[in-house]
Amino acid sequence: MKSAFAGRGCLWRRLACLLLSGCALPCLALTLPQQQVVQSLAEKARQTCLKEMHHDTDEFVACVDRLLAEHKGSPEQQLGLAYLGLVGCMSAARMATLHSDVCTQSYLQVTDVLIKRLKAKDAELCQFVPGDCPTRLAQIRALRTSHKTFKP
Amino acid sequence: MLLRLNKKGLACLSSAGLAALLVGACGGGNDFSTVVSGIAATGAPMANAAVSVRCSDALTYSTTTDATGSYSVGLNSTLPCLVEAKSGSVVLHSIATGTGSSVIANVTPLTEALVNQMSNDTSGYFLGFEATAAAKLTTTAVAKAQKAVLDNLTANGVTIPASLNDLITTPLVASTASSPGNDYDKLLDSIGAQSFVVKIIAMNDFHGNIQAPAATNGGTVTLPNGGAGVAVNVGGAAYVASAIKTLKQSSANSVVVGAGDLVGASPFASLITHDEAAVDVLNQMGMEVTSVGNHEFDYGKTELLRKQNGGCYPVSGDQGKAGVDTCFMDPATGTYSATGTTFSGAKYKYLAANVVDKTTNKNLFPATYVKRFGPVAVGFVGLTLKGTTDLVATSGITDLTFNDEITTINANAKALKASGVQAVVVLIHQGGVSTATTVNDKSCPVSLGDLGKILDGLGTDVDVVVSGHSHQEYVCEYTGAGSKKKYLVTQTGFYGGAVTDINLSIHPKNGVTSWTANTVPVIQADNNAGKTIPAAFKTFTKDTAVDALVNNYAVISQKLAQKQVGSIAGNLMRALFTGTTNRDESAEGAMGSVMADAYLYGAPGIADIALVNPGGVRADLTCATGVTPPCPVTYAQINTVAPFANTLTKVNLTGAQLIRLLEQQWEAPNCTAKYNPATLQYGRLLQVSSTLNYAFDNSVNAWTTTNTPNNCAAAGTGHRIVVSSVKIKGVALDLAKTYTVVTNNFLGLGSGGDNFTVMAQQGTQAVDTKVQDLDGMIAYFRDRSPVAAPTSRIQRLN
Repeated sequence: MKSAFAGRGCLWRRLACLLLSGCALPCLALTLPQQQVVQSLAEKARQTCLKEMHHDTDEFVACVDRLLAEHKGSPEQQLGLAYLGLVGCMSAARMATLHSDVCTQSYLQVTDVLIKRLKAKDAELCQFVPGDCPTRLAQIRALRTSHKTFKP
Repeated sequence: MLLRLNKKGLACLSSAGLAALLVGACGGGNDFSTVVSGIAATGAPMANAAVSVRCSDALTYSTTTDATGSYSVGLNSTLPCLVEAKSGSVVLHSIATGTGSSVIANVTPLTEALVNQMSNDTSGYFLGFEATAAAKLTTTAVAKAQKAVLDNLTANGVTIPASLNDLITTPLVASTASSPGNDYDKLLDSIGAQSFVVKIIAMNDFHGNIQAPAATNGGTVTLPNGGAGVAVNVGGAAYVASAIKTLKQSSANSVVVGAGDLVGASPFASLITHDEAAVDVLNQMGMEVTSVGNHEFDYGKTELLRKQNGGCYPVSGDQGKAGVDTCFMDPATGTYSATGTTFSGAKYKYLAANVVDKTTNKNLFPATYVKRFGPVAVGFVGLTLKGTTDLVATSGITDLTFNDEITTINANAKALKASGVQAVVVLIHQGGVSTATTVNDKSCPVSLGDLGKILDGLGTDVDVVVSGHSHQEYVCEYTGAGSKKKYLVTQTGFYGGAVTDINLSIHPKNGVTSWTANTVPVIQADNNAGKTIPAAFKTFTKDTAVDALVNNYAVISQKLAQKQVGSIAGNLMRALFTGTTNRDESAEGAMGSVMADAYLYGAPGIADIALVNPGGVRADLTCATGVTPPCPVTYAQINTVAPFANTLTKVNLTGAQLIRLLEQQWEAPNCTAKYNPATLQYGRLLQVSSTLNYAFDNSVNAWTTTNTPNNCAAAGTGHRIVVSSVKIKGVALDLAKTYTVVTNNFLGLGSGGDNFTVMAQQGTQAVDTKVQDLDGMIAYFRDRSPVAAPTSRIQRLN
């Protein structure tokens, strides 16, 4: 199943960012090359690791962590991987897959550190992984609020 | 449109086995005891259709309809008989019954529906019709079937004309240019022109969760609410039963189906009854047909056949005691009774289209199942993933072949469509993974993976794919790359947290014309206080009958769970990654060592050492807070450590083969499968009994330069074991001597699990003792308590 966002241009992403985050210009913090790296690694993790999701999130987490360990040198690559880890765990949490709550928090922390470092925005990341962005962004905000892990 | 009933002279008929005799009788001039005649029609007459009449004496009489669909057959057999009319791909059945020398038996889609009341497999019913089946075909039974068909039509909004009082015998009169047809003809024309909505209620991966699952393990679902979503408590068989009942009440045509793993890897409440509890509950919930999944094979072919056909669990140690851990059913009701002594098996049908028993060269279970709803029929093809062989112990499935999914589906779907079903639904235990954040995200953000490859290979005969295995929830429309046809593809989550409500609009001639589908979370009405349930979702109260049934099994399991089997002198922990509860399979752990000791203790006869795969040690045994050792260990706790019902297996290895086996721990592919960056140790470390001690050199093929092991020895080339350090029962290993090893069937049989091939492929005199590892553990704790954490048996150098 192709991403609902596949093949869309930069303009669309800018519009999406504005609509979804309501932020003022300049909305996109990542450069286009950075975006491409983040998206590429998120997709790599999606293709490689999502299939490991089953009775619990353990194998999925092991897979994402393995990719994170292999790409330690690049924060953009790390962000793509960690973000897919976060979205995968959040998705698993919607059905209460075992350990999804733990890995959601874990990847949120990793993602937030990288978001801060790269000055990325949630909305621009959201488009890199298929799904319902308004709800996902709302859930991420709620997670941060409830666990106070993020102070932008 | 039909032509008038044509009562011309009798056709000369023959019996398949007695052709000469009957032809002779025919030639003698209408010397028959009974004449059966009627019209074969789908709305239009079935001209030149082959008509066969099969009677209780197993004789078959044949003729052909004329251009008006009219036929007439002389019999020298006793009624009732079955009638079959074939024209192209259309096959319809009817019943010739009654008394007298002449009876009418029209053959129409409605008589087919009537015969379908007797058997879902009407063609099979016809071919196997004989005295026993005929005896059940009483006037009362036929009348009941007639009523069921007519009631169903009424429920579907069809007006039954008053003149049509019997679907079999009421004459058919067709319209002509000058006069309209009679009411029966008009009804057939009307039915042939309208669509019928069939509701398919689907679930998958129930895994014996008869009680509500834990909130953190399948017990909540996040609903869309315009914001971040709202998590609600879901699941529990009593609620699922209520949800199914509610959905069924909203449709005249419904069927409850599964896509595998309905049992297996179950919670204790069901597992302890060998999943008889789950089967009983699923029976009561109305499950009708399901594919097998990989977990249905967890305990092998024989046990799966028992689940379908019934019978008590075989006696094995403390297990297999009727009324204790097996056989709780009343034979008359087929459900739990306090005085029950039997297990009647699943009332629902398992399908296994791609699973062939090599001993018979037949499918383990039927490939397909057909359910008819008035004039339309839905055919189901059920199968599991071909890769099931990689997911279960080989010893239980050595007789079975798991065939390619695409070929299997296409062949069966084609046959179903050819037999006249209007819709083909595939029940397959294979699935994709979603990145949705709430249920019912119709944008379908799903990586379909291996299921996608299957979908791309399907033909145009398939309409719907109900999937499972990946424990995901989705409702998607997917256009197959091969067929360019759009399929509805669903999965419903796991553990009974939701069901999928699929509604197919099916036209008798055009097949599936449209569909709707939604995930219906099984929201507990009495356990979501303070939460705002979005209007699009319903809550469900407990079904009292199923609730009582679940409670009965809960009492049984609680009694067994609390039974103390021994004690521990302190915590017995697996090797864990620091600061986590995740097992570190690259290291030795106390719990694994004790399990290996229990293997050695529990296996019949004499053996030298025991080996356990680290992934087979599923939990720790710990003292409850505040309890001073020795701490009690219960049946339930032991079961969490060894939940797979593996059997203890003995195999002989030479000392040299043992070294080779141990080297496989670190060679590719085990090298990169498991590792711990904190300890710089990699590979799968077999947990060993106290009778085996050895050292290995961690500097050989050392992992030091990257974050993942990068210096693995290729398979067959490792040399990390310090051979001189290896001792068996305190004596130095003799490379030429033969030693008897106890392991489990996962490692020791088939091709050898977790990449440990030496025992299964090079060992000699391999014997599956049939003793379950759980029984070995129970025996060990019963006799060796309090069990203390052992000292290390494996020494790492460098």
